[in-house]
Amino acid sequence: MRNRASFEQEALPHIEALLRTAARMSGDRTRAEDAVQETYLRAWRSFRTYQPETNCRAWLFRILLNVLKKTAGKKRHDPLAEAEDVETVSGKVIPLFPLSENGDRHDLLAAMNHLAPEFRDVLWLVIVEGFAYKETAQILDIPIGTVMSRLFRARRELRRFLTPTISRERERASDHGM
Amino acid sequence: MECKDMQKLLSPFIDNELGAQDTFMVAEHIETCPSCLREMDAMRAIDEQLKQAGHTPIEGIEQMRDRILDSISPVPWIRRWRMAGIAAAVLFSIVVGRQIFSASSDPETTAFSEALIAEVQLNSNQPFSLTWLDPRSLQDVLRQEGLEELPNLAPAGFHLEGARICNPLSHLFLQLVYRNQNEEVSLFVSKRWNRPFSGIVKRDGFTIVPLGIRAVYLVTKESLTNLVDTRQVAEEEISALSS
Repeated sequence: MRNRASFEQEALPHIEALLRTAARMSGDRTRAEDAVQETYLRAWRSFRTYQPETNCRAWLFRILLNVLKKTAGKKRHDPLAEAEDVETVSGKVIPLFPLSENGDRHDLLAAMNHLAPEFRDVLWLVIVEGFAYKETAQILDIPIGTVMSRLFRARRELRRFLTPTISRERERASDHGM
Repeated sequence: MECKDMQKLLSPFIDNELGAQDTFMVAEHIETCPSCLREMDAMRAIDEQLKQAGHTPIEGIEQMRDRILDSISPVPWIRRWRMAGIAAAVLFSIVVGRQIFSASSDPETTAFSEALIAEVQLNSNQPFSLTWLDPRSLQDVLRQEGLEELPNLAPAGFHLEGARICNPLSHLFLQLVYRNQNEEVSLFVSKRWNRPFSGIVKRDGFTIVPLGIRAVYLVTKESLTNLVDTRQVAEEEISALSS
């Protein structure tokens, strides 16, 4: 039976992933929280007709992406330029990404922000959230071939931007080894 | 196959998204091609960095969870409306008078209108066809609702696009979606809803037309030109089905 208990059990465990993605894609923690709350509200309203065979996580992400699309309009925020670290409703500042000891976060974010949003979205959903190509295609409502080509180009571009970082790391590793 | 072509397959290869034949071909190639192997290693290294960067624990998840549970809980909702109802009754009885309660803009009508609009907007966001009823299930639901056969409630030129069960404000409705080339019309039918609305409600680009206490509503965009005809046809059909 599709009741509140099963909704809690199946849908709520994905809050963190949804919030992480919403924060990444909107660049704003408050807006991300609003989008996630709206996502769950919409999901709950249609949960009665939700079929158990459906991939709940992918279903929620699909709703989230639509919510974000509607609330953001045509303008996409640049997470790095506008809100690298964001303030929560409780007033604590939480980084959207962690800063590793050698400062890789900046390199990674800077590189990611060189990518067009549609490439970033695919990259994020496949690599960070671990969705299959088919699920990503459903979430973004694009053909699976487009997922594949965007991912290939996104990875190639990202690698191009990160190459100096990788080289530095190899040099450091090599120095350490000596 | 040249390395240039092979490198396009590296991305789906490391994601385990290639078919068996292509997987075998790529695996064989990288065994003998240091350049492609380096490329693949670099891609994997970046993937790993990105995964680590993305999977930082986020604070405030518990509070977020509580807010979500609160927003989907019927208890606070009922409590809120009950309080709003009491406050409204006191205010109206002092300032305006009882006749206001018959106006179409009462909180319940407003809330219900919003819920119907949310359901219609949700349709366009429904990712999977599984939530839509297949023809056989639709006939079963129609039978349960006392509508033995699919009623011809669509405006002229519209065709039935699909049907689903929805529960705006916890009331079970069958939503029938009709479409023509440019527009979409939703009909909400429920034998469990017996509250008559008065007046056409316009909100957020939608028009909600009450079709009687049989609880059938049309939700359309304001530009629908044959709204009056549709309403008349629907009222007649509902009336015939209800009798």
